[in-house]
Parts: sequence; C-alpha cells; structure tokens
Amino acid sequence: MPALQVAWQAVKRLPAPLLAATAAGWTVLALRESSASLPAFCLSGDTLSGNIAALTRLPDLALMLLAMMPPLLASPLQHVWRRSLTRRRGRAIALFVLGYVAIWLAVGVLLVTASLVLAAATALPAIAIGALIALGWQATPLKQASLNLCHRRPALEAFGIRAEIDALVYGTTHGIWCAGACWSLMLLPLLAGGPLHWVLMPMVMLIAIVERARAPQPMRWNAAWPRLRVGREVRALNYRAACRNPPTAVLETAP
Amino acid sequence: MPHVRRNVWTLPADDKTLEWYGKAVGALKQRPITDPTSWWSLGAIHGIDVDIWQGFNFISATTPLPPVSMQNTLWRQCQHMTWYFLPWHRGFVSAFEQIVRDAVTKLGGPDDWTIPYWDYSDTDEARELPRAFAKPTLPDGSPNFLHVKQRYGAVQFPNVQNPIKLDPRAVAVAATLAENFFEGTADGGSAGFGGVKTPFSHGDSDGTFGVLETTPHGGVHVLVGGGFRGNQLSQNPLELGLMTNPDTAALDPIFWLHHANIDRLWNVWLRQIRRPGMPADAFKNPTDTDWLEGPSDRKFVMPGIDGVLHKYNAQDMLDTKAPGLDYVYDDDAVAPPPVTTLSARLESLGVAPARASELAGAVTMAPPKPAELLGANAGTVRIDSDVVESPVRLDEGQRQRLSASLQANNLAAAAKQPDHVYLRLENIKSPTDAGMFYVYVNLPQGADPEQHPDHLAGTVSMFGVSKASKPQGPTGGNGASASFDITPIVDRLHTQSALGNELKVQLVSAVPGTGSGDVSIGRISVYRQGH
Repeated sequence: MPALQVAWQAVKRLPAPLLAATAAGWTVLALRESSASLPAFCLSGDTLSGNIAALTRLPDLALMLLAMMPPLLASPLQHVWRRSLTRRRGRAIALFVLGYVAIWLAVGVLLVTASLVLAAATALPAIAIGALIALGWQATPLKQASLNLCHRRPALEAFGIRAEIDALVYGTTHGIWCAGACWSLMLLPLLAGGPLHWVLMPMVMLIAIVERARAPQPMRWNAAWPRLRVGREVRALNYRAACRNPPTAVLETAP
Repeated sequence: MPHVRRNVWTLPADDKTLEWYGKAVGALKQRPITDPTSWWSLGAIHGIDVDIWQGFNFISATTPLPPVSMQNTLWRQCQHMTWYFLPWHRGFVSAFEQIVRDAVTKLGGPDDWTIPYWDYSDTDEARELPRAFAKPTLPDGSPNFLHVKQRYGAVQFPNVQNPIKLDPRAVAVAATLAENFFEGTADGGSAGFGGVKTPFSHGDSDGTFGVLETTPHGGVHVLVGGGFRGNQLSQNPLELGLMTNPDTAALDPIFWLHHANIDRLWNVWLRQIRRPGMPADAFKNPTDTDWLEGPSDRKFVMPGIDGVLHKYNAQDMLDTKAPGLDYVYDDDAVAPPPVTTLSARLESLGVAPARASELAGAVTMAPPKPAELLGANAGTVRIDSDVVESPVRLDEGQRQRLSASLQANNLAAAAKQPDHVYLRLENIKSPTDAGMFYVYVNLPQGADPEQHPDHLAGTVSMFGVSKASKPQGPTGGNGASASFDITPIVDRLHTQSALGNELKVQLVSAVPGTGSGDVSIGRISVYRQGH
C-alpha cells in the first residue's frame, strides 16, 4: 500500500531518540490499558466534573502525545537542532517541546471535554458524531492551511535571548498548526472505547504521517483528503498515452 | 555506437544540427498540447502555469488540455532543491532528444541527431548565447524556431541585453566540480554536488539548492531569461523571460542545450580523480536505494517517441550508453581539470611541503561529521540595494575549535583533515525569480567586487524561489537555501591572522539597480564541519 510505504519511509528516517520516545509511549500506554483505559475518562458526568476528569487525565494525554507525535516532530526538531549552536541545542529543543506540548495539552483538555459533552448530549454513538466532525474538518480549506503551515521551518536566531524566544515561539506556533491539522482526528480515539480505541490510535497516526508527507497544496475545499499520486500513475501508465487521439477517449477506453 | 552530443560552440561551420533542431521545434509546435510528444506538453513536464501560458498566448482559454489524471502523471515534475535534480533531468533531456530525433528523421533529416550542449564555462566567446538562437528569422526570411520573442524579460532594467552574454562568475564551475560528495546534507554542511536527500515532494525541507544546481544551473537560467526590474520588483510573471521561470523555462529551445551541459557536467564530475586524503565515495553516485529506486511518493514519467509513457528512476540514468539513453559526450574521454588536493591545502595552511605530502597520503578520510553552527547574522537581510552587507558573528568556542583545526603545528603533528567551512543563505524568499546575487566574504571596504575573485563565495539566483516562497509552494513557504564552501577564504583569513569573531558577508546584485526590499534572506549562517 502506498500509504504504508510513505509511513515506513517516515519512520525509517526517524532519529533514534524519537523512535525510542514513540516506542516508549506505546509501551506505557499498553501497560496502563490493563488497569484503566484512556477512554474511561470520557465515561460520564456533567461538563464541570468532565473538565476535572480531563485535568486528572493529563498524564494519559501526555502519553498519547508521546506515542503519536514523535514521527510528526522529527523534521521540526531536526530543524531546531541543526540551526542552533551546539552549546544551545539542548535548551532550544527543550523550549520548542515546551511550547508544543503546552498547546497540545490545552487542546487535549478541550478535546476530552468535548468527548464528554458528545457522549452525554446525543443519542447517537459519540464515535459517529466524531467521525462526521473529522470528515467535515478534513474538507475545509483550514485543514489544508494547517497542514501547509506544519511545513514551516523558520529562520532561528543563533545568539542571545532572541534564540530562546525563537525556539519557544516556533514550538508554540508549530503546536498550533499541528493541533489545527490533527485535532479532529485525535478526537476519534478519545471517543472510542475498548478495542476500537486501539485500532483508531495507529490509524490516526498513519493518516497524520501520510498527510505531513504530502507536498503543500493550495487552500481549497477538499484539498486535504489523504491521497497519493502513485495509484493514479500506475493506472495511467497502463493506458496508451493520448498521442494524436482525443485524450479523454483514449484514457477512458483503453485497457 | 551511441549518439554523440557535441559542443554547440565548436560545431563545424557547415554543420546542420541546429538547422534541423529549429525545423523539429517548428514541427513539435504544430502538435496539440494533448500530445505528450508536442513542444507544449514537453515544456509542461517541467512546469506549467496555465494563466502564464495563456498570457503568453502559448495556449488559449479554449485549448483542450489533457485529462487531469494525465496532467497529474506527466506534468509539473521538475526536480529542484533535491538529490533527484540530475537523474530526473537526464531522463527529461533524453526523452526530448529522442522525440526531436524522431521528428528530424520524419522531416528528412539525419537519423543520428543529438542535442548539442552549451558549455558556457569553456571560453570567453562561449559565454555568449549561441548566435543561431538570437535571430528572429533565418537567412531566407522564414521564422527561426530557435528564437523566442519572450526569451528576455518584457520589463528590463536597464536594457535588454543584446547579445546575451553570461557573467563569468555565474558559470565558474571549478568549485562546483571540486565538491567531493554527490549527496549533500541539510545539517549545514555541503549541499552536495547533486543535492540534498528529499522525497519527490520536499515540502518538509528548507529547499537547499545542490552545488551544481546553484552554479552554473540557476544563474544561467536567470541571466538568459532576465526580467530584472529594480526596486518594487514586478510580480507579473509575464514580465519575465521564459528561462527565468521554471513554469516556462523548457519552452525556450536554449533550455535543452543548457541542461545537456548540466548533464555533461555530471559526467565530468564522475571522471574526477580521487586524490590521497579524499573520502572513498568522492566523485561517486549515491548507492542509497532511496535514491536509486526513489522517489516512493511519485514516479518519474516520460513519453517515448510514440507518446507512450514510461516510468524511470535514478538507477536507470547511471549509464548514458544504455539502450534507453544511448548517448555520449564528445569530451567524455577528456581528463577533468585537477582539483585542489589535501596536500596543497595543508601547504597553504603552513605545513611544510614534504610533510604535507606525507600527511595527505597518510590521512584516512573518515566520513564528515555532522556540521555545527559556527555563527550567524542577526535578523532578516533585505536585498534593497546593489551591495548589502551583513555581519556574521562567530561563536567564540566554535571559532577556537576551527582555528585549532587549521593550525599548522596541529596539522603537522597528526594525520587529520582540517575543518571545512560553509556559508549558508537560509530562507531566501522573493516574489520574483528575476534576481541574482554574487556572494562575497570580507570584501575590502569600497572595493570593486569583480577585482576580488578570491573573496567570492558563489552566486545565487532566484530561479524557483518565488514558488518556494509561497505557503502552498514546494517548500511550504520556507523559501530556498544555498550553501557555499568558503573553506579557501577562511583558510586565507586564518593564515593572515585575520579570522576574528565576525565575518562580513556582502551580497552584490548581478544587475546593478535591481535590488529590492522584497527579496530577503532569513538568516546568513556559517557552519564548521570536521571529519
């Protein structure tokens, strides 16, 4: 499958520390599954108690981020690493991660709260509502705009307080763009319990990796549907080209 | 016997290669854009912007275009800012050559026609656009299809250059050919002769030009295409010459001679002789399967002479004598120019000649370490005048490490390579591709840049940069980056005890009066790379 190929290429290129981080995240999540599954914090209660429940589940959210985000962060983290003075690299990475995680934890609390509201407020299965929300957001130009912004690799100052500020601002803004691209997808595993949760998490991660691997696109409706050109190319190659014949006829009728 | 591509400037007086080329171009222009072997579709394989093509009247609003699936497969494939630059363009030029040869044969011409190459680095005369391309009509008054009226920008500062003659700095290839490695790195070290590793879609990169892609490739594009305007640069692409814009470049017949030369330089580079002290993979193609078999996210596709599309990848492009390519260059047997050896460098740093020679033979070159940032300027640089200077502050600890690696007594004591130093222009952004700059380091105050080639780091053109500056562009709006090996300059500063805590980088507009505050460089940095 082309999607798996692209995802494999991304994972293959992961620096060892990031690979270790994502592996650690998945391992700890799996170990915790036996005692308290993540979706348990979506079970019941009003919004207030839901918010409290969400806050008490911050460690779980952090674990989800640890498991799912390193493959998406490889390129921006390498950017920070390479563009910083050696003696400042640790600080720069820490500030980037601080900004990024702060945004995602805030978004995570909102997503958990939303999952509680959805579970309590509708007769429909919450996962169905979540799927509709994800499909709807996927179709908007804002989704593609967020994906485009995830490719940004800004110039970073090398010296002084400006270097620190640039790393923090980059992490924060990257977190915002990343959340813009992924919030609706991340809602899905939060809305699903049991085995479905464990099916959705890797699926969401795969979609996110493939989306990031795609080249930036013009902002328009439906621009962000995950799609790869390889399949179409193989099909097109099976046709004789349009040489000196009406092209549409050739393409539609040739075997 | 493979077909032989020859130097356009040394073709015999009675040679008909260009005459047949012109006739074939005329014939290919008659074919509809829906035909993959047409002039128009071949140009669109490199790039097409329908609005621009309509503006130039190459197509009209009612011209039938191929189905979208065909466009997505065949068009807009050009590979820049990537290690696929050379293999993709080799397949592109070869497909074009075979289609033109077929057209020449059908017109009654020779069946062994080949595309000539324009070796603008050869002689002073050769820097001029070959004259057969400059005249609108042939001696009999018929149209000359090698001439295009949109060649040079419609808005030009100060005047349309006639004849077009390239600046020697833009086509100086010695430093390019001396680059040891094909694959560059994105970590701040060399961008590599062939470019930096990327997938087909390199939106996650900072758009680093490979060394050959920077010089002479990009500069020739922009100096032939022109379109310079001066401050408040025009963002109207119809004011640029065809060669300046990747979406129109392949519609100028000279494009193909230019890229035949770029392709030839790949062969010349591979013929370089590995000297003592050089790494084992110096002057060799990558063996990484990601390059040989890639890219995995979109395939390279070209039409055959019958219009049938076929896929290829880098490993199909390694032997030009293979049946699918079937060509050689007339200078393939010529020894390449010598490159600076490690021994000569050690001598220049003060090591005694005998010891330098001994050390160069003893050094086992390890792969370069990841580059480390040595220093950077502060803030964004805007190229708003003919000469813009930016101080680059060096980190004291890194500078000391660099100086220690260049010390003659340290070098004489141990068989160790001295560090290399690279200057990077990061996040170069421009609203137009019609811009070009010469990059100097520590040029004396008020000096005429042309009189100080020893301070020249390289040239950088805006070819492809306007698209890379857009959020939906190939690098996600990051712009482009260029890397220059300034080791010889730094070595000289070191031996003159002039390597302080700051370098001064000067950016000199290639065409005076064409600076613009709209062209910016996000950061100018210097990297140190050890071994």
